[in-house]
Amino acid sequence: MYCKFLWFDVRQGLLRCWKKLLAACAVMLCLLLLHCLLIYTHNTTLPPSEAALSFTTGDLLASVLCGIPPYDPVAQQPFLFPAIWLLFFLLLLYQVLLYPMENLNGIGQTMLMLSKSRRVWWLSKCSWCALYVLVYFALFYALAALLTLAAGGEVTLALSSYYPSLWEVRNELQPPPWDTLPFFLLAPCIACALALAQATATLWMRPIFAFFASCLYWLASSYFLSPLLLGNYAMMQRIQTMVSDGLPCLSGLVSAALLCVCCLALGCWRSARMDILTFDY
Amino acid sequence: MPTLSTPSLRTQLYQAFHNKMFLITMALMCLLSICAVYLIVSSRAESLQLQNEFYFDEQGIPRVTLDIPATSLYCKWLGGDATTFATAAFYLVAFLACSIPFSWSLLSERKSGYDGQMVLRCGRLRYYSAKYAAAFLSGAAVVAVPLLLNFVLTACFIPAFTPEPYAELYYGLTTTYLWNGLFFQHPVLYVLLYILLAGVMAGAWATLGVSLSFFCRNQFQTIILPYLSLLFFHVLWNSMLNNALRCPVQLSPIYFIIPRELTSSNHPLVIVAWLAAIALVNLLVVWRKGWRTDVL
Repeated sequence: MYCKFLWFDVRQGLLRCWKKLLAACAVMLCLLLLHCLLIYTHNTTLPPSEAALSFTTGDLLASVLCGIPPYDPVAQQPFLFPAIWLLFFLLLLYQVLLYPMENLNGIGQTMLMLSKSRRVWWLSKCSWCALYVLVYFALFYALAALLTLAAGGEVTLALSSYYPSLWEVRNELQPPPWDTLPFFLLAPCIACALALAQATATLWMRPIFAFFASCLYWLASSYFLSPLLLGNYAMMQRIQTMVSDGLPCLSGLVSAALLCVCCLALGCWRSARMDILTFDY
Repeated sequence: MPTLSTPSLRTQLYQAFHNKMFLITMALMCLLSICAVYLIVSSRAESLQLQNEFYFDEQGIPRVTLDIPATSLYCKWLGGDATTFATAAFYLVAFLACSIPFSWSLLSERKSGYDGQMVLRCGRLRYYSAKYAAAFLSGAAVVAVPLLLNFVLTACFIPAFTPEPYAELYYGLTTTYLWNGLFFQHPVLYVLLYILLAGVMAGAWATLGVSLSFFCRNQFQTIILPYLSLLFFHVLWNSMLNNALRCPVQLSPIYFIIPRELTSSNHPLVIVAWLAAIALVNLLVVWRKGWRTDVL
């Protein structure tokens, strides 16, 4: 039963929604191109004696996922939110926002009644959500690799030695080479956990308010350095593999796993008690 | 000729200001602004206490420090302090919140066929203009009212020292920032003008959601898509275009409606251009999709 539900969700919410993914790819491409342009303009202004900079796939990915260093209000500098990072994640959260509720308001209702299992319905939606996040990140990583190839860069997740100098890092950087693989694996896990949290919230409130709460949560993650705000783990500039007083990837992974389990349990509990016949999102 | 007192406008305004989405959004934004008051008042009390403990002259009288004007109402209300989370949160979600109250309404009525009834009864011009006006006013209200509330509540706790030019370092304003002169001469007017600016920009942004109703199938798309588009523009402008074009002016409304200068200065022409562009888009959409197509 679960497999049938999941296959249906994959067809309806993923394969048929290729236009949404295409639009996401266009936005990702623009975000990645920003870094290419930065390097290009830097190289055009270089004196002939200096070697031109090149970039790796890791640099490109980090240009979107690096975030900002921990904010210190005492310094009296205005807080500038990490717009690129925020846009990347909010776009994902928007794309996974509507399908579960649209499904419950449409054919999903009939399927749910015929299957006689609300738990299976919810588990299938959670699996769909996780799958969507993975596809989104896979596309992002693939686009970055293709762009690196096209620009003659090196396809590797390692960062160029000059790269962190572009950041406004206030903490002490770890000595190179940096192990970026744990971070690039952790970021989709964090996004998945928070997408599931948003989906669970839509069982109680209208999707738009769940999205509203997500916006505030992700912004709070960029403002406050706290392990409770999981968005911190999705910022490269706040991870222990990059900065000495950063957050450990393992605790991020454990927190994300815990949140996923909580969302699954809460969703099962809530979906079993919802009045689905008069439900209107 | 439609006037402000036409039944259609009155109906739309009633719907816009009496629906659940409007009330919830207004409550959320007001909550955010009240939280900001609480946080700013409590942190200010702590810092003043510290100052009273340690800043004494030889006679034991508390010293008057140069940064006193910077701790005044005009620097500590929601729009005046760009270092707090509440300010960042409020201005970031303002352009999302403005579309929640009523931007979805046209799509909802198009789906149910109610728009056809209304067009037949009161005409396209009256119906669509009332729809846009209601979306504009409700969108403006959910941003301007909480800002005003915050300013008034903060004024209940923090004295309104007149800003002093010698302490301009603390105000985060350059001479090119819009209405900068007013800040030192008539600070209340300066604050009110920026609240009005935030309301007008938010209201205008909310009308884009109404235009999107002609293209979207889901109500939430009409709310979220304009917001994500704005965020995308913000990224493009602040990460690339302003450097590439060497333009010292802030074009992103997320930043230029804040009364404190964040990255670059704002300009009245930019605001007028934004409003004109939004009006043009709305007019084109209504003309192509609302005027020339059969509502039935």
